[in-house]
Parts: sequence; C-alpha cells; structure tokens
Amino acid sequence: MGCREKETLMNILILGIGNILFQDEGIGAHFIHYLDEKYEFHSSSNTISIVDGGTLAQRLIPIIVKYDKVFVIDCIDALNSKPGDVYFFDYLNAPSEIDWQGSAHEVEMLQTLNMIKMNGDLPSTDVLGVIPKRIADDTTFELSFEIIKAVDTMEDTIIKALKKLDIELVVKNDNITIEDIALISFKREIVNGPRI
Amino acid sequence: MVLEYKFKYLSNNNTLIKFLKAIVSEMNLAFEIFREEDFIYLYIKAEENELLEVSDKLSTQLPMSIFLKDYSLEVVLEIPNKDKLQIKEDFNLPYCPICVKNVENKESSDYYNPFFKCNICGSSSNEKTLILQEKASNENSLIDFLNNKEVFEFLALKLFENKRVKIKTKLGSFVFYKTSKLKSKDEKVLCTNINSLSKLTVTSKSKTVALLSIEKPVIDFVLNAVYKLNNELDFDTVKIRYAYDLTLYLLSLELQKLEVDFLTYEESDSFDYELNYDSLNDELETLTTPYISIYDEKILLLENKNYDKKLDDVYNKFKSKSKSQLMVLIEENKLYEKSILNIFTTSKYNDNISLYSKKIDGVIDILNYDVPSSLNTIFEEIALEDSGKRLLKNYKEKFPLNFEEATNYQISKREKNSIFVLWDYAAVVLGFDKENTNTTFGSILLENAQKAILQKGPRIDYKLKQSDKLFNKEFDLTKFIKSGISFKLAGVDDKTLSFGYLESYAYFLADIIDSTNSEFPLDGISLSGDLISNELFYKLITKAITSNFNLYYNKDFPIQL
Repeated sequence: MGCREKETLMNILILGIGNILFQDEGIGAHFIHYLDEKYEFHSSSNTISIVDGGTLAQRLIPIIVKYDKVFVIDCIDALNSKPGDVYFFDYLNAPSEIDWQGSAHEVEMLQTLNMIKMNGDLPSTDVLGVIPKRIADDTTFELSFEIIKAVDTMEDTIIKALKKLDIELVVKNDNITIEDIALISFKREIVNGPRI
Repeated sequence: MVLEYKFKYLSNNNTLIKFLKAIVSEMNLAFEIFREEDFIYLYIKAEENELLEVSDKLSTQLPMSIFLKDYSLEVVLEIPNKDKLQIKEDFNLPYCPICVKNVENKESSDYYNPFFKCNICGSSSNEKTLILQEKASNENSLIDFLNNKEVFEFLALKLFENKRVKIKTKLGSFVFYKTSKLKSKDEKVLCTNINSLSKLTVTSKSKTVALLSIEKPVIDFVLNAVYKLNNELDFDTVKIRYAYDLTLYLLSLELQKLEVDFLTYEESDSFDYELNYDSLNDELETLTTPYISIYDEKILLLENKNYDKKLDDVYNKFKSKSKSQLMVLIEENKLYEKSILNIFTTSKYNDNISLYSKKIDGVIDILNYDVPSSLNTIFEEIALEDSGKRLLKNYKEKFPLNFEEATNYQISKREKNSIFVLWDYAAVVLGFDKENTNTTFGSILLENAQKAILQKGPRIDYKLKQSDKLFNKEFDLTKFIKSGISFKLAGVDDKTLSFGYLESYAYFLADIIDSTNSEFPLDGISLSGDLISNELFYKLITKAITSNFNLYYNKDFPIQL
C-alpha cells in the first residue's frame, strides 16, 4: 500500500518596494502594510511572507531567492499611461510599454531582479505596478488622489492572484485605509513577516 | 566511581577553580580540575555516599558568579589524563557563603565578626578590633560596646535616624546615609535588602543573582515608574550594589530589621559617626569589584580590574584604541587562528570596523568615519544635487531656527571620528531638544530612542560610498543627514527619528558583516566599545545580526578602557 505524497509547499513572498519619503513613490511599501493590516492569510499548503523592501534593492537578493513565488509591488512607468493605472504582469514577459526608469529606486529594483535572473536564481515573479503621480519638492507621506483610487484595483488583483495559489484572505480590520497606513508604515511592524 | 562536573564559566580568572579546589580538598578525595575554553571540569573519584556529600557541599558552599552560566554532571569511567592546571595568584574576593554561615552562627566565636578568616574563599585579615566613634566639634569620642553585634545595631539605628556614618570598607572609607530622593543617575546606592529591590527598580532574576554573586558588582538598574513619578525624577537609571564586605553585610542584617532597604554612599568628610578598625596593613583595601551591564543573560563588563595583567601589555602595543581592544579580545578568546570582524563603537574614541585574520597576516580597516569640520560642509555637499537643494530650501522654510542653529554650530577640533559624534550632528541639524546642557546631543539621541518605545523606526540612510574595495570604505554622510531631514519634513517626531537612527545603524552594521562575509568568509564577529552597553542598541544589534555568526566579547577586560 503506497502512501499519498503530501502536496508540495510553496513559499510565497509579497514584496513592497518604494521610497516612502517621496509621496506616491512609496506606494509599494505602503500597500503591503495595508494588506498586512487588513487581512489574515490562510493556506493549508503554502506560506505567505510580507516584506517591506523599501529601497534596499540589492540587499533584497538573499531574501528573494529563498522563495518559490514572488509578487513585487512597485510603481512603474509605461508608455501612454496616466497616474493611477495598474499593471500586473510576469516579470519575464513584461509588456513592451512597461518602463522602470521613473525613479532611482525603480532602476535599482530592475537591476536587482536582472542580477538574480542572470544568476539563474529568480523565482517565478509577478509585478503589480502602478503609475505614480510624480510631484517634486516636498517630502510627505501623503498620497495623490489617483494613487489612492488605484488601491482598490491593486487589492482586487492581488487577492485574485493569491486565491489561485490557495491563499484565503480573511478581513480582520475593515476600517484601515491606504491614507492611514501611509502615515505609519515607516514605523509599523509587519505581522506576516518572513516565514522562511 | 568517577563523577565529572562540567561548568560553563565565561572568564579566564581562577575564582571558580579556587573554590572547587578548596571545597573538595577538605574531603580528602582523589580529584582533578581541568580547563578547556569556556568549560571547567572537576573529576572526583570516590564512593557514592562520598560523592553525594561533595554535591551537597558544592551546592551550599559554591558562590554564585556572574561568569558561571551552567553546569552538568555525569558518571565517567575514569579521571582523564590531561595537563595539570597551573593556577597563579588570583584576586582578593569579597566574602563567600561559608563566611556568611559563620558570622551568622550564634554559637560561633566568629558571630558578627567582620574580620572572619575563611579557608574557602581566602577572605582574611589579621585580628582587628572595631573602633566606633561619635564625631564631636573638637575631637571624636569613642563609644564603648560589649560586642560587635551591638556596634552594628547601634549604627543601623543611627542610619535609621538619618545620621551619616563613615565606614571603613574593603573598597575604602565612605559616608553612608539612608537613601531618600535620588539626586542623579550617578548616585551610588547600596541595597541592604535584596527582597526590596523592586521598591526602587525594575529588576530581573539575572540582575538579582548578579548583585549577590561573589564578584559583588555595581549594576545599572532602571528605576520603576512609581518611584520615578512619586519623586518627580528626570532620570531613568541608578547604580546599585550589594554589601561587598562583611562589615556592610552585618550592617545590612541590622538595617533590614528597621526596614532600611537602601543606603547612599559617597566620599565625604561630613558625618556623625565613624566605624573604623586598627589597620596594621592595608591588605583588605586591595579589593576591586566590577561595574557591569546585564541584558537577558548577557553580561558586559564596563569597568573591571580583575584580569590577567599581561592583557595590559597587549593593549598598550597599539596606538589605536580599537586595535588595542580587538587584540585583547583575540587574546582573551584565543582567536588567533580565526577570521573575525570587529565592531568597535564608542562615545569616547574613534569608531572602527576592522577585519582580523591570520590569512591576511593581521588587521585591515573596513570602515573608519571622517567627521567634517563644520555642518556647513555637509549642507554644501547636500546642495550639490538639485534634489538636495530643494530639500534644504524646504527645511529652511519649515524649520528656520533649526537650520540657523545648525549653520552656526561650532564643531570642536577634538571631536572623535565616530558614529556617536555623527549622531550629535544629526541631532543638531534636526533640532532635538537638549534640556540638560551637560549632555551631548549624541546622548540625547540615545535617550530619545529609548523613550520612543517602538518596535520599528524610519529607515535612515546609512550608506557607503560606491567602492569595489573590501577595505577602507567611506561613509556617505550626506545621505545620513538628508534622510533625517526628509523624515522630519514628513512630520516624524524626534523620538521616533532617534529610534530610526539607532535601529538603522544596527542594520547597517549587519549589512557590513554580511557583505564582508560574502567576500571574505568570517568565523565570528566581535563587539566592543561602550555603545554596545546601551541596552536598546545591544538588543537591536544582536537582533540585526541574523546570520549564525559566533559573537565574541571581552571576557575579563572591560569592553572599553
């Protein structure tokens, strides 16, 4: 009598990227804190880890390579786009209009993923990108109206993607908004931190 | 039957060996003591009933020690054949459980004898007589007493009545008086009743055990909130110790009966009574005790003179304090064959991160800091980029006073090249409140960070300038200051910012460790310098170093001279 092989465990990483000091450019980091504050994540077979990557860039390499599946949340540039537009794509098959040259941290993140790819260590990586409204001059945690509005789409997109991977999301705090979280994410401890 | 006792003892001193030898020698049994790295082994060959007796004796006569971390025992086939231990002269010790037992025994001729001669710990003196005097305007008048107990009862009563008593102790003569409202964090306090520690402080089992240990150290305790509030104190810690000689121990016994739990002591000529003794020689006054920090189970020696004096020769071989400290640490831990990254971070000297390895025939500097001559230099560098210009313009508009004070800030030429001094500059630029003019801004940043009570702070940029070299890296000071200004402009408060500066420093060091290790595999990390004795920083750095490196510290030598 043979025994049934246990389903393979998949380690999933949701990685928020961005410079929170430059308004919308911090949306990736703010968004993962928002998810972490709003939801509980349940799965019988997979683990979920949420990491605020900020602007750590290449220092994230040892973290990224440990996972089987990675979702990178960041702001991006794209041809013929407007602030608040949301894109979701496989990093290795990025649409041609996508551009990562909008800010220093975007360039660094692209370089980081390329370096991991060249070493042959890149896990399956999807990018959830949003077009920021770029305002210069002041440092503030306030987000633009366009990016606040985009959060609903980003949220729906990531929930659907996670459900396909057997992750069930249960709302634990329905009152939280992205504006609230943007004011505290720099000092907020992540509940669903690295599991591996 | 042979029993092996294995003690984990994190010191190179011979105190434990001295006790083991003295206790077991009294029983006329075959035994051997060996030492291997952090472990001391005691082997005893005897019958089972004799071994039980030894165990009983050890449990009652072996004193607690700040260096003794653990022990285990097992039956082995025979006493191993190893090189005999050569024990050199050790240091004078305060008093041990045997001393206490004897001076508290009413049937003993040594009842309340502060000059008890102990065969176990070696605490000894020639027979001496107590001299009790009342200080009068012209000359002191002798007070007669029938026995020693009367002396201690009398003095306890006088202390209870708020009199000042000068007492000759093994550490010198001090004036003692009942502690009322603490005056400063440097006030020296003697706890006379260990069960009452929590009336004044937030204590822990490890701190209580350390106070009572054979080393009788001075320890910084955090004041409890109720005491602080009731006494309207603006400082958070106090230095406390327990009776370090039998005179103070016997006095403490009497004070406990009068519910006097704490005495303040100081060097002074102002007193009402004096307890002295005839002193043909000063052998007892050579006692020295350490000043330590304890976090969880980790003990750091801030001050200590009880170490092998050959370490002084090692220390004095080098001009740079960081190298001296590193080489002493290498010697104490016998790390000559290893590759060690040393982090020396200090409020007193130049900071340094360096790599020691036999493979490179010595030490190379990974990072030194270069403190600028003025804050304007930093602003000029920030303004070289357009984004920096905009940042400074915004800051000047929003915080004009801070900006003005920073541009006028005079930097002393004697400033050390350390992160502590750079914190000082960051605190000036960011306009942190400095109520106490005696403290540096760098200290304010540390105090602020402690008060923030956060799990995570803003990420301050601690970055190295671009370089392909493993060694002599340069710190990017403009990013360090710019990120602080940015968070301040975004509305982050000073305490949170301070916490961010401290936390990000810990992660920065951890990153340097990882990047060095990826290019030059390390066997361990050594931490030294007084900043590691800051409780919050110690917790942050030990949390930030996530890889499984062995962490090394000085053993008997202080973490900074």
